[in-house]
Amino acid sequence: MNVIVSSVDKILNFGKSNSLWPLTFATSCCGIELIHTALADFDIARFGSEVFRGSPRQADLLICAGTITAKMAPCLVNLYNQMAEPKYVIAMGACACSGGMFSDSYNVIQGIDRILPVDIYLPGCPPKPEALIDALIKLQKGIKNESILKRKEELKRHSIPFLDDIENVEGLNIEYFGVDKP
Amino acid sequence: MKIESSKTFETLKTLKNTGYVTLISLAAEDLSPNLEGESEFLLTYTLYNPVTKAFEEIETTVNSEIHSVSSLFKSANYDECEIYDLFGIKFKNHPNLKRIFLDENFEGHPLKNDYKQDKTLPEREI
Repeated sequence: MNVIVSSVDKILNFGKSNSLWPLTFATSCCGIELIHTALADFDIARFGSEVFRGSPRQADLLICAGTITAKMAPCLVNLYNQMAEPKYVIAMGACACSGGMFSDSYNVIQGIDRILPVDIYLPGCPPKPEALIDALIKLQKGIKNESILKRKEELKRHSIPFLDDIENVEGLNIEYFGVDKP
Repeated sequence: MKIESSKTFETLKTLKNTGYVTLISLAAEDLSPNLEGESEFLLTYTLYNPVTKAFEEIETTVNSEIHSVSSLFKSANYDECEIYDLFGIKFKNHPNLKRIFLDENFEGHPLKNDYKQDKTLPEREI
């Protein structure tokens, strides 16, 4: 079965990996390095990320650059749920990988992998633009090893409950400022 | 200027009438424990006169409650919510005193001197 499907796999993986369009998500200092990677000195458009989309419904890749507090966590999960498959996550910076310099703080989430499934961890404070390009290349190599026969397992790895299920979890409070509760 | 906590509202009202129209900042500091062992906080109001371009600072010491200033200066609304959230000082006659920075179910006031939490940094091997 693998022999029949391998050429289809090659074409699909080539298309998926060489056109990853990220979502602009920058909360903290790592966002400046993200912007620098997109400018003329270190061009990220040569590796496929031609534009940074503003809406999550049109993006493939979520580069989470910055510190995430307990108030921002439901918004981040909401954005991730609105992205369409196939989608990937890069945790950029020390704060997104494991809390960073705020490791004994009362309001900072100690690492994004407590709320999202992460594909690539990129340490650094902040990581250089060359390091972000290295992470993108490693992600592309990983995507080229995927297969359409294993799609169900990959969907299970990405499945997290929707926001209605999250609302009943203890300790996580969602506030609606200026908007009526649906 | 240093004032008692029961006279802040009237002095700020007279200052506002004589030209100090804007409240630039409201800051708090924890000075506890007191000589008697109670909790004590130091509040600092900073007022600004745009005509003569002069600043005025007013300091008060508070134990636990004080009259709110948000009916005179509207910018004190969010400042007092944040101070209640982080220090635990309550403001009387505030229109909507609730936690603005942390979760509503959060227990404790983090910037107090006697706030402890279970998280500690992991020990490093040298």
